[in-house]
Parts: sequence; C-alpha cells; structure tokens
Amino acid sequence: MLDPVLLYLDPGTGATLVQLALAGTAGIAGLTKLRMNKLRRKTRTQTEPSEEILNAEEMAEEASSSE
Amino acid sequence: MIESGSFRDPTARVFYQDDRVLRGLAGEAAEIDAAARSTGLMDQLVEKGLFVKNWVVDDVKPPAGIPDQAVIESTRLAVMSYPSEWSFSMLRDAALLTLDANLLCLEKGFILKDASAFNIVFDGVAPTIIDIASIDKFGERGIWTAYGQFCDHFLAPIMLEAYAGIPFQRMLHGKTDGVPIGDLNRLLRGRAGIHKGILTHVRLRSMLERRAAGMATAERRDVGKASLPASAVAGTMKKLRDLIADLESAAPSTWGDYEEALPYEIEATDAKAEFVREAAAAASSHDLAVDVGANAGLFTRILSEQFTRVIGIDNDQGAIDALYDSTKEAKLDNLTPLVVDITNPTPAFGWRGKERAAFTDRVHPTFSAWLAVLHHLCLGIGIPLTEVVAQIFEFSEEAVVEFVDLADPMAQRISASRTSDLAPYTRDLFEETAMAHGEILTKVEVSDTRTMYHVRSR
Repeated sequence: MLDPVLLYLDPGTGATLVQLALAGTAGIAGLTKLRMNKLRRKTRTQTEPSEEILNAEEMAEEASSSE
Repeated sequence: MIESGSFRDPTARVFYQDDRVLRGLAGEAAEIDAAARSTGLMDQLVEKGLFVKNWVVDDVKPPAGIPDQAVIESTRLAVMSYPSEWSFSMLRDAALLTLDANLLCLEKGFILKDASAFNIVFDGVAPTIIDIASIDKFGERGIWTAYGQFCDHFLAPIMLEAYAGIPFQRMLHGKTDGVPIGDLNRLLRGRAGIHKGILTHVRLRSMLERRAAGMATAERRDVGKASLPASAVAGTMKKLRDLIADLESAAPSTWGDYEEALPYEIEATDAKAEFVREAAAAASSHDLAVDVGANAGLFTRILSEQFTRVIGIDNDQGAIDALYDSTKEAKLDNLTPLVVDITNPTPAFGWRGKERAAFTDRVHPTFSAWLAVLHHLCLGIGIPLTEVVAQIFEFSEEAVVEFVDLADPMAQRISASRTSDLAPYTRDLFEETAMAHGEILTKVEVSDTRTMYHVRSR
C-alpha cells in the first residue's frame, strides 16, 4: 500500500487519468486495466448486495495480506 | 524559529537558528535524502543551479516537535518572492527549471513529489528550488503525483497570459494554489481553445476531473494504484517543456513605448542619474535597496552598482519582464525585478493568514528610490501627499525622491481627467512633511518643475 504520510499531496484522480491518457501505449494499458476492473466490479455487484460491503472486504483483504 | 509556511510536508520542517536555514527530516525522508546524495543526484542538482546549495550538518539540534533524523542546511537567499510577483518570463523560467529538475531526478530513479511555484526563489535573476526535501523515490514505475499541481501553478497562469492576454499576477495575488484548470477551461472558450496544449492539459483534464468527482471509492482507489514507466513520465515532461518554452506573453503593457512617447518623464535624466549615484554612494548602509516604480530599470541598475542587493518593483508586468531580460543579458547577479504594486503590495496569506508573508515583512530595504512616482500616486491615484511621504519614511530609513510640480506637463497630463478636488500637492508641503519625519540631506532642482531629494528618517 502507498504510504499516506508521503502522499501529503493528493495527485488527484482526474490528473492521474490525464497522465495515463498522455502516456501513449503504456498509458493505454493502464486505462484498459482500470476499465476491466470496473467491469469486473459491475458484474459482481449484480449478484452481491452493496459496494460498501465490497469495499470493506477489499480493505480487509489488503490488511490481512500486508500483515 | 519554525518556518510557518513549511507545515504541509510532515516529514520535513524548515526552521531557523542564528541566521541559518535548516530542515529537520523524519525517518523515510532522511533515507531518501541520503540516497539522493549517495547517487550523486543532489550534487548534480546543485551544480546545475536547479537546487539551492545545501549540505548535511550534525551540530544542530532541531526544536521540539521537528523531525531530527537528519538535518540539512541550505544557503540563505536574500530576496524571497512569490509567483504573483514574477513576470511572464520569470514564471516560464521557473516552470522549465521544475521540469529540468524532475527529468534529472527521473534519470536516477527519483522524482519531485510536489511542484509548487512557492518552492522556487529567485537569487538575483536565477531561479532555484529551495525545497530540497521534495525529492522522492520513483524507481522503474510510478506516477507524477505533482502533475496536477504543476499545471495549476505554472501551466495554467502561463497559458492564461499567452493565450488570453490576461496578466496572471492579479489571478495569483493572495493565492496559494495557482489557477484552477477548470477556471482556465471556462476562460479559454471558443477560438482561444484551439491553441497548443489546451485540448489535453485543459479540456481533457477538466472533463476527467468532473468525471472523477462522480466515481465510486473503489474506482478512485484503482486509479490511485495506476503507474507508468519512468520513460513515459519523462516523455510527458519533455512535451510540456517544449510547449512552455515556446509560449510568449500576449498581455498589454503600458511601459512599451513609455520612454519614447512621454519624454517629460525622462527629462533631465543625466542630472537625475548623477543625483541618484551620489546619494547611493553617500548612503549609510549598502545592504538592500528598492527602486519603487522601476520601469525598465535605468535607475535600478545605477543602484545595483552601489548596493549588495537591489529589487526593482513596478506594477507593470511588461516593464518588469523587460528588466528581467535585460538583467539576465547584462549578467547582473544582485538585481531582482518584481511585479509589485506599491499601492497594494502582496499581503500575508494562506493557512492562518501566516503561511506566506506580506511583501513588507519579507523585504526590509535600508534605501529606496521614488523617481517619477509621487505625481502618479498623488495626482493619478489620489493618495494624499502626506500619506505618500509617511510611506516613504516607513519603507526605508533613507531614500531618494523626485518631486514633480503640478505645473509639469506630465503632472498636468495625469491630473487632466480628475474632476474632484485634489488633496494639497505642493513642493512646500512635501518638504514640510519630510522634515516632520526626518531630514532632507541634499536637494537639487534638475529642471524647472522637478526637484530631487535625498532624505533620511530621524
């Protein structure tokens, strides 16, 4: 996970997306990955109750894997 | 004393001890700093003038609450200035410097984690980065976290002046975060939007910022994890560099033909120059002089021969831009031109109103020049003469002042359109008020309507 102390400057979601869009093939790969993740999440939410629960699960997963 | 403007980065805080500028670094920041030094990056940044000269010290204990893993000392620069006080070429040079420093960092596996224009100070006319703790690890892949800040602090104001002809100084006055890209997007509607760089850095970013605001948390977290190879980030920086290097100011300037069109103001120039030279030589201190209403800098340069440091201020950004260029060309290293309106100098601003200091709290001249200025302030703007004289004596302990009679053609021209009664404006009142605040050391009539004074406060 990224260190929150070192990220005192918020890079901004929009600004990060512009960087990907400007970065040629490397950026396109990044954008495609984001799109795929979004689609995967969408398919999952159709069978599971709410995004909040998903986020909580994801956070729990991250927490256990970092231990 | 702890610097009130350095609280944003909790891993590095600036403090002062006995006139020394010091930075206390916390654990990881100290490790990154050590790595930047061991790879030779810091030496290269300093050698190329991109970073202020700095070195590790071990004889200082930081005050309580300041990180103390490592302490770095840097050269104290005499003149602190802010982006709203720079001319177009100054902001452009500062932007190019920021990109050059980043490109050099990337070559060694590092990057600058922020891109604030407040991290840059002009030493004479040479910009340099003072926030030495902004170096961060990048490695093989990462993201330029400061891209958005770079655009807001540098690209947006530069585009505003280059593409819309609006001087950026007034948009940055009292601002800590530059020009929001969304504002620029709305300002550059229609034909102004066809210029280079607008489609991507302004239109696309504004659109994506709007879209990002509506994104779900999980999606935003995904974007936060995105990364690019160092070569792709460097590519974006190089393209930005080419874009910015080609931009020129399109803002109107009143100084342009000033010296040719208005010969009255340069009447008796030789006699005035002689007076200024003699007064400056006789000054009791030769530390810092400020030329108020510097224009293209004829007298600022004369002052620079006698003083350690000289600042030329003018409210016309075109005049200051020309003075910046000519100073660079002449290789004068002790003169800094700044866009400052003496009737509305930069106030203190930012967090708690203390993050950034007022111009009058940063600049403490021992000597100042007020040449061909009084009649503009009194007759043009309507500030009473007694107020202006009080300001002169408050500003510096010694000054050269030119008094222009009401009968002077230029004074007539300035006051021609004023319909209301003017506050009293006579040479007798000037002398009387000056003597109430201090003393008149010398006085020379350089023409029928113009008199030069060398004054000193009591």
